[in-house]
Amino acid sequence: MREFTKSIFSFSWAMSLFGVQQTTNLLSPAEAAKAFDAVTKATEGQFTDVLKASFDAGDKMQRNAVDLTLGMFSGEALNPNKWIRMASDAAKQSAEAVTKGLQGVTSTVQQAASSATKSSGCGSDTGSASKSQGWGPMPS
Amino acid sequence: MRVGHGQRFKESGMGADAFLRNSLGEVGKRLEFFMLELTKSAMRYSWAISLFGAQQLKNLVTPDNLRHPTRRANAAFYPITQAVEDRLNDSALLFGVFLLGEDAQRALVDLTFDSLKLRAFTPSYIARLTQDFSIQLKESRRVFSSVENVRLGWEELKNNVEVFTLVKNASQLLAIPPSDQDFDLGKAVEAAYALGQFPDLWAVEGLGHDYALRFLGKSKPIRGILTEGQARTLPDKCLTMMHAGMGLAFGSQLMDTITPYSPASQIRAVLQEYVTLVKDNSRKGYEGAAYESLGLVTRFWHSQMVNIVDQHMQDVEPGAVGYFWHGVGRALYFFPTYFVPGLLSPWIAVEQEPPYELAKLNMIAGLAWATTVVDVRQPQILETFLEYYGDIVSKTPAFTNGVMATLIMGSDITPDDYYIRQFLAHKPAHPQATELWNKLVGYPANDAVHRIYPVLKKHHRLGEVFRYQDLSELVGRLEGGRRA
Repeated sequence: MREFTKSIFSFSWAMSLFGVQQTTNLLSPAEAAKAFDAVTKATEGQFTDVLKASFDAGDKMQRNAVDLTLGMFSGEALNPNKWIRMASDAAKQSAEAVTKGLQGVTSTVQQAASSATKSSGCGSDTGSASKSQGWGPMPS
Repeated sequence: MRVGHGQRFKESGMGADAFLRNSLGEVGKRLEFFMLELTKSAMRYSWAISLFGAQQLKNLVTPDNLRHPTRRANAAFYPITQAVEDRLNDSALLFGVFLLGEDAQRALVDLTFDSLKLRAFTPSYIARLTQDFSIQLKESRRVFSSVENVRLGWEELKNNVEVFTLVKNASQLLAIPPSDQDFDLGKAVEAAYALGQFPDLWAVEGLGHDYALRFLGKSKPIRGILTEGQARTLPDKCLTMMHAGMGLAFGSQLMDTITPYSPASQIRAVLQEYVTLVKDNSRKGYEGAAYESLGLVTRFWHSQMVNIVDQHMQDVEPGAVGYFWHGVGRALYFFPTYFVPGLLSPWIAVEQEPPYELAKLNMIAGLAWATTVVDVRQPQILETFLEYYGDIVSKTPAFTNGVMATLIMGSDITPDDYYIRQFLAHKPAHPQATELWNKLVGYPANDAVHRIYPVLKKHHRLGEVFRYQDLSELVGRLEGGRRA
């Protein structure tokens, strides 16, 4: 719990300062975008497959929304082809995310069932799982 | 070749008005493009962080390991905080503020948990806090107790800023091109030495780092960075810090690939790769200089991993452990938390952090090394330091070892260095300080430069000074071996 509290504080402190840095970076938008992308990439690296699919779907929708908002000024938003393409993309991405979500739920349920079986009858201790994964020493 | 606006105006064949409108339009379009990309990146980032928050909530509610229910969340937070830290590193001020806050929050969390567990009320805990307070008091008095001390503290701060700037801007100072372009290493070394005595040392270290980085992106195995090609003809005098710089490049690349939560096998593999890189790319006898840099990189950018690297290094390459801790000690001097003299004392960390005696000796030697070399032009700073810290540093031979080792390295990098000669000839202003100075600094420093250095150089063992050991004994062994 001690390490977790430190992790949370570190993360929050880092994010606050990152906000300050990005505010000063606004004068050089390319640099600011690069910094956002670097942190987003590190965050993406922590996602499970299910979450990754949801992230991609949401990201695509956001990008389209930004393009559309800008397109209102250039008349591009009135192009029906664009609307059809966006709707089809959104449906495809959502279907993908739902499928991955269902797969994720199934595998979680299977894992939970198997760990319940182990702990109830097979006599293996819960700590051995972490040992067998070969984790490195953890800070105290 | 870059084309100027005047040239473009002539080539365009437009009128001045039309050209101006056209140029402004171009700038506007580019700005619009960048702002659009920035908006998308910012939204993508917010979306990613929101999902990440949800994921960590799920990790906490359904832990996969009941013994360590927060392990998965900790492991997920670490790389993201690290990625942000890497970005903050672009700004010295923000990075310093981050580390200060980080240290403060860690200390506060520890104190809170220790108080809740009633550990904070045990005699040993209170004794430790009292000791920390006493060291901190020494540091404050060292800098703020008199006008002269404030002046010396100011000189020390200027030295720190100068060294920091030299290391950070080494590539610009030496006109080293971007990493995808080759450059003449010999000329860069000449440019480093042209900066003059004192800056040359830091510039050579930066050069070693930049030169080695060029090889790290190439196909493996990476061999002969400082033994083949352009490095074959390098002058001997630059080799110690070229190796130190190379070690920095290896360390900063490899340590980014592991976290405290990485599997043990992965951590060992990374350390093994580091050791192999050092062995395959160093000149004989200079390996220690490169090993030492791993400690500096780990303590500076991955402080949570210091003890983990130590534990695994004992299996991977036991001979490198001393160098590693020496680097950890050296890192303390340059750490933003201790950057401003008089505010926080790095000697508290020396008392708290090392898990065993050899680590502590090496940390003391590493910290003494940096303190001496950064302030070598004003021996009065070290003299005042001894006045306040004399009782602490005279307890072990490690402090003197650090002073001796850094002067050996300095004499090798800059033969007949003016500042080192001045330092060796220094006589303390206060008679009461003379005895301590002569015992801990004066006599050993002269012995190091005049007797020990030539023997180490002759036997190609200069890398040995990058860890704590009895240098006189080493010289005795080397000379004895020769006679035998």
